[in-house]
Amino acid sequence: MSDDLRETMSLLADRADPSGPPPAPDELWARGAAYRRRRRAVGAAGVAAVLVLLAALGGLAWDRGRAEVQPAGAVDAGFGGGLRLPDTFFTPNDWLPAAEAPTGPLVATVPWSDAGWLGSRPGLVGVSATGEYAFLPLVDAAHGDLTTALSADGRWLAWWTSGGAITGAPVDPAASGTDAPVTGLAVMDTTTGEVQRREVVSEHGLQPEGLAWAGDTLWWSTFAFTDVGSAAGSTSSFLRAAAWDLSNGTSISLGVADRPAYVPGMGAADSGSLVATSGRRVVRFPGPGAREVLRGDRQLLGAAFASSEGRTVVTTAYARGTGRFADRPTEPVLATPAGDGRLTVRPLRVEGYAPETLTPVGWRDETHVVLAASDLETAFVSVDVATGETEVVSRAELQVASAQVSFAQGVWSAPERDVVAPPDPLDPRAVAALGVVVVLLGAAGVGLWRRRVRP
Amino acid sequence: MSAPDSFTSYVLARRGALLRTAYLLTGDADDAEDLVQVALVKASGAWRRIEDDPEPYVRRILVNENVSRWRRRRWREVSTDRLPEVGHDPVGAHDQALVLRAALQALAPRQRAVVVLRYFDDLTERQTAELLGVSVGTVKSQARDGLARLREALPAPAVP
Repeated sequence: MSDDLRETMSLLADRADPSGPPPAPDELWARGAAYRRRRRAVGAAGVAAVLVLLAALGGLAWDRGRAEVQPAGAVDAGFGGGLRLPDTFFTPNDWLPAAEAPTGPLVATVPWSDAGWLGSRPGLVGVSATGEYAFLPLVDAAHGDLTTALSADGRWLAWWTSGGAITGAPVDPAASGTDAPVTGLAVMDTTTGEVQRREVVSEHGLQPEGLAWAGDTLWWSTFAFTDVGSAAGSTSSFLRAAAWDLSNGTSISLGVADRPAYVPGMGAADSGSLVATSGRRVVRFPGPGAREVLRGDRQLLGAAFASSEGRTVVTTAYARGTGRFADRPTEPVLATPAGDGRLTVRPLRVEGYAPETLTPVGWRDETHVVLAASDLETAFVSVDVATGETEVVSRAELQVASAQVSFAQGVWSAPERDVVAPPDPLDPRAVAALGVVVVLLGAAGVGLWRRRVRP
Repeated sequence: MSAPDSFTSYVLARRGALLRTAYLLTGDADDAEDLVQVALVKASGAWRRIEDDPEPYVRRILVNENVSRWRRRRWREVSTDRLPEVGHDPVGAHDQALVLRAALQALAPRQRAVVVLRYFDDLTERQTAELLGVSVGTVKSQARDGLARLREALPAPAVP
């Protein structure tokens, strides 16, 4: 240490001569007390502000997330008679709760992403007859194939399952598109929650073709993979088609010749028979082993719905013209028997709607067809097939065709009902993150103030 | 509201010394007075805890508050490695003190604190390190570099 430096510093320090008189110790002490009071007050205000914000955030999250899935007992008694046609089908929320109690008859199901804290997985939202929305607990559902079928009265819900036994090596998921080989199907009674299962033994797994309800009878058909396949492809062959009567538990296996053809177009008639489209044909299956084929002059596609008397079918056809069918617009058509195994197919035009935006979804009564008119949203238009008069009977917030919404056919003939929007919960991860941000910002704000404030 | 006797005694006894240290840290008499007042006001809140030996606590506030003020002000100040020009040859003690003030102000505030605490307040390296919350090695290197910069500014033999 240099004495010279200390000496020079001491000389410099002698210049520390403030312009005014120093405050008395009591004054300093009083300033200190006031300073501490201000710090406490600002700290308390900051904590209070954070708590208010957190409470507001929590309240908002709670309010949007309120969900009460009414038990089956709250639904009107009777099955088909208990359905009501909601005035609006709402877009489900990824964070809807799972239905813990039997939902009662469902009017519709919507494949929807079921979000969790660690990610999302495919799920199925059920819309109950009372207007509640909840994710349905589909036991062993084959993830990747959430094809489901809802019975006309909304009581039975069928889906394909995985996890059962196979006799050989499992099919490559890249080939099947499912996480695990499909090994059977299950049906849930929505009024009790009871699930019945059917295993379908195969070597590598099933390649489901279709599910459709006719009354209490589930028609199903499936192919089976004949090799394990790969991402490049796989081979399969028809395995089985069957009619499973849930009212008495009997199952009748159909012969290969009786299998529903072109099952993606399967639809059900209230009479209990099955209707399917296949190319230019409409195929009826009055019962196991019986089949009636009617041929028309239009290329048909999509689901077919038979009227309650069973003769007239509403379905979709490609527009007349040349070139590939896939490049042509489509339009709803009515197909009626014309004798000699022929069909008369006539377009179903609705004023104000472009034909290609219309998709048949069912019958409201013997003379009224319901079409889904899809734009960004969907309007369900009831059309009098005799007069062409129209009436919008319901709406949906989403495109029901692209969203693969399934409806209980009975809903279209059910009385209309005003429903309230389902819960629209906020993403709890965002709520939690926002809460953390609020706390951090509050703490940072108070800390900054405490650092910068002058005593 | 009256202060406890121990606080009054401490302020009356040590205010002058604190003011001198603060002046070396700030280079301005009014800033030094303000700095000392702030340190004493803040120390009053912890007085019951530090009553037996308030000096290290008060000095720590003094140094930290000065660093905080420097951080708040630097956005409106222009930093430079060059010392300000002295109007005439520094021959007298008065002029040497002015040059030292300028040289100290050219140091970073923590380095300035190290130099002042070590060579004006005669704290040991360990005491300086504890007060600043840094390692002894940091104090050594900061003192060495600080002295080197002062040596460039001041005529020998003011700086060792």
